[in-house]
Amino acid sequence: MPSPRPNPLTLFTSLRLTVVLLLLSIVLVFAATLDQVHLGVWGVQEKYFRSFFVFSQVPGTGFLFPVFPGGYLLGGVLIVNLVAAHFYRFRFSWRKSGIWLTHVGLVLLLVGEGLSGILQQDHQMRIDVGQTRRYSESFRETELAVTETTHPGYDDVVAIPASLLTDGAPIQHPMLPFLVKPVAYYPNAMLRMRSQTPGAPQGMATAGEGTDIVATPMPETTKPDESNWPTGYVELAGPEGSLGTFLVSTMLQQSEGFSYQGRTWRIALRARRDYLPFSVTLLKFTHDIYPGTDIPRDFASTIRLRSDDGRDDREVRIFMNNPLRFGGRAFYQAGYANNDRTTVLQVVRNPSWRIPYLSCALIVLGLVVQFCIHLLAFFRRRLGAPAGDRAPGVGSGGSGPGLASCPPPP
Amino acid sequence: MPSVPPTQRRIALILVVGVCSGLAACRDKSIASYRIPKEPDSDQAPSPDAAPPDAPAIHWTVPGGWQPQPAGAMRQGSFLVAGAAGAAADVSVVSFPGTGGDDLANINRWRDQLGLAPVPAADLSGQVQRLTEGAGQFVFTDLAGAVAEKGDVRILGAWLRQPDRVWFFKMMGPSDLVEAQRDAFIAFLQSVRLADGAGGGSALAKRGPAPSNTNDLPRSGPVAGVPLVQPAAGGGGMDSIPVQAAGGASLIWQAPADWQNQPGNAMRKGSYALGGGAEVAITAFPGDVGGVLANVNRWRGQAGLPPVDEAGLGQATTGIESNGLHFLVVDAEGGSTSVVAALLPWSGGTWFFKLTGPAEAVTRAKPAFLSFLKSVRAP
Repeated sequence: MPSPRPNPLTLFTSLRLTVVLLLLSIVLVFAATLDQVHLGVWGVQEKYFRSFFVFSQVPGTGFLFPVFPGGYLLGGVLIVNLVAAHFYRFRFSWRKSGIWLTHVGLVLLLVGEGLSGILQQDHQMRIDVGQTRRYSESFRETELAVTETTHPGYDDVVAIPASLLTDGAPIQHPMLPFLVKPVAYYPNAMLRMRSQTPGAPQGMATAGEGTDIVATPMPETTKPDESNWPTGYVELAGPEGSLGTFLVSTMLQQSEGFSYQGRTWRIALRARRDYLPFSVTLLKFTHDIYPGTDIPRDFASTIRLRSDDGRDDREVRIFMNNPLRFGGRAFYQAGYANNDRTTVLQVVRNPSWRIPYLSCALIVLGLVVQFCIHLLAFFRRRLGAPAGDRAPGVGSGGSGPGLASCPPPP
Repeated sequence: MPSVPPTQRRIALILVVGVCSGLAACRDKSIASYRIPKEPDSDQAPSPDAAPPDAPAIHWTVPGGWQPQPAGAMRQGSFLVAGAAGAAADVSVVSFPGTGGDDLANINRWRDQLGLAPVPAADLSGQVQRLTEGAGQFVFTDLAGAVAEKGDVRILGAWLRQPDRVWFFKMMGPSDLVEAQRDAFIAFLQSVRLADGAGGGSALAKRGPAPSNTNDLPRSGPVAGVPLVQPAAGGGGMDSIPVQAAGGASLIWQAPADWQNQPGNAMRKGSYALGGGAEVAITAFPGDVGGVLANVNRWRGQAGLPPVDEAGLGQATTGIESNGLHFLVVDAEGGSTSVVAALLPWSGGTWFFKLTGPAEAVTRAKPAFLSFLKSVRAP
């Protein structure tokens, strides 16, 4: 007799739910693939897969409403469904240990992807031959760096994420004796010299080089071969009033300098930096191509790695498919520039990077174990072993490991 | 059977969603502060003579009369050229990572500064010239317009692309003064040298997106190990160029003396600028490269003409026999862009000889191109 209201246990253990989730996932991937033309790869990942809902904007307004479940929601429910169905339908026995291992591996795979999406950071490090770097830079994230350069031996940096510049709220930090007031922020803008832009409107900058520069907001680009140039105006204000409004942009190649209360400062909008507890010096870069083409065959960086605690001081060769793993980061050989005098390393920080390896190993192990159990049972049957020792399903067409091989629910 | 009670499962689900939301929300929202060892440039005011610390090295020879100015935050070089009666032109050298926009965007940006209407893509070739100098191939333009309060203003501009960045060179000022400085500006471009020469770049950027038209592959500068097409000595005013095909066989041709030899690349066997925006590209590929009909319709499409079917192929093409070689020539005359191309199956592969550019320039160059085809021969 049907229950008067849906039973959550039935819902979460339903194989129909599995099918629906997989169908929704297919629709999500299809829609994301089509939208990639407008948003680019990164934008699509953020909108469709690394979100709980896909939002759409009401035309003519800024109101967003959810129109479809996002990757996190589908993946999360799929995990719950997989685990619940497993606990509900399966009875543990050694004969099914392979199936258990395989399912644990699948769940780990989903969890690992979710954690990677949340925790992984992709940066790059560009180093000239002979140069030493101790930071990597984000591909997409930008920060406003306010640096006190008064001390001859060190700099104190306050790094403000660009996302905090968009709402215009004043920013106060204990290390800064002044307020930082975002005046305007453009995710992409074109800069021109004012002298070459007749008739340009008066800019907002009142101090620094920005007074001679015109910033024109531009639409954000998602093309892989084009860059956005985040740009903004920030006003610095002390107790006695405004210290000036500065133009900051990733297009500017130098930071702006100023003095306040007898201390010197620099301010710049730049790619978000991740300072490392070690330094990397590029000793040598080699680049081989396939004869008769300009297609890279191999390119490699020989670096000197020195940790701040003095425990590591060694040379490492990083080349294609052979990254350096150190300090919780992986350094991949990603590119080169400046006529082979500059190497570009991709720096990936992903605390969950081992999970996919572990989950794949579990899946393989589970399949092997299950196969061996079935094989053993088969040989026993051939050798005339008692029927009670046979594994379920063996000799009757042989269903493989997975939900399909499970007994029907009670 | 042990199963998880519904209440516990609900709590677990809420926890998972909550933790995920929290982790996602925590990203990129916190202000960081840290102390770092002094960086070499951090406590120095910008020096007018110093290039920005991250800027690639570039060298040039400053023409006489150009007064160096402070480079500033955006410029790698800045000069003032003084003229009569207080007139002055501004020269700037600016570099940006990436592609710096396409040619059309650059032209229209400068046209806008001169109060000129933007030009469509079809008219782009009439706006630019390509100059091959020591540092690489410059795209050069000369624009004149009128600006309120300044009168007649002219821009001499050029950009030079490297795989990972683009350099802009620009002179802007009163028309008379800029006209008088044109030779000096071109000499300035000729003197430009990038550190260790042009080339390099991100491996991905260098390969670029898959081209839809094999004759329109992006060009690249000289690459170590790749032999460039060079004129043979003693050509008597005509270039005589042996070119290796994929299979090791070669063709030889003679190009008219007024065709400007351009750097080739791994795909282009030869490349010439003919003036007026027209160019000739020679490429070779193994196999039949999709067949005659597909290539003919591709070229017709580039000229804005409708495709033809097998039955119409005979009318759309003509054959040329020369030196034992049989060319199939397509004359696709479009409204603004024209293509005259020849297809030559030879030695297990297919060779393409393609003249393309503004319709007027192609019409003018067509007789020379057909004569050029007759110079092609097997070794």
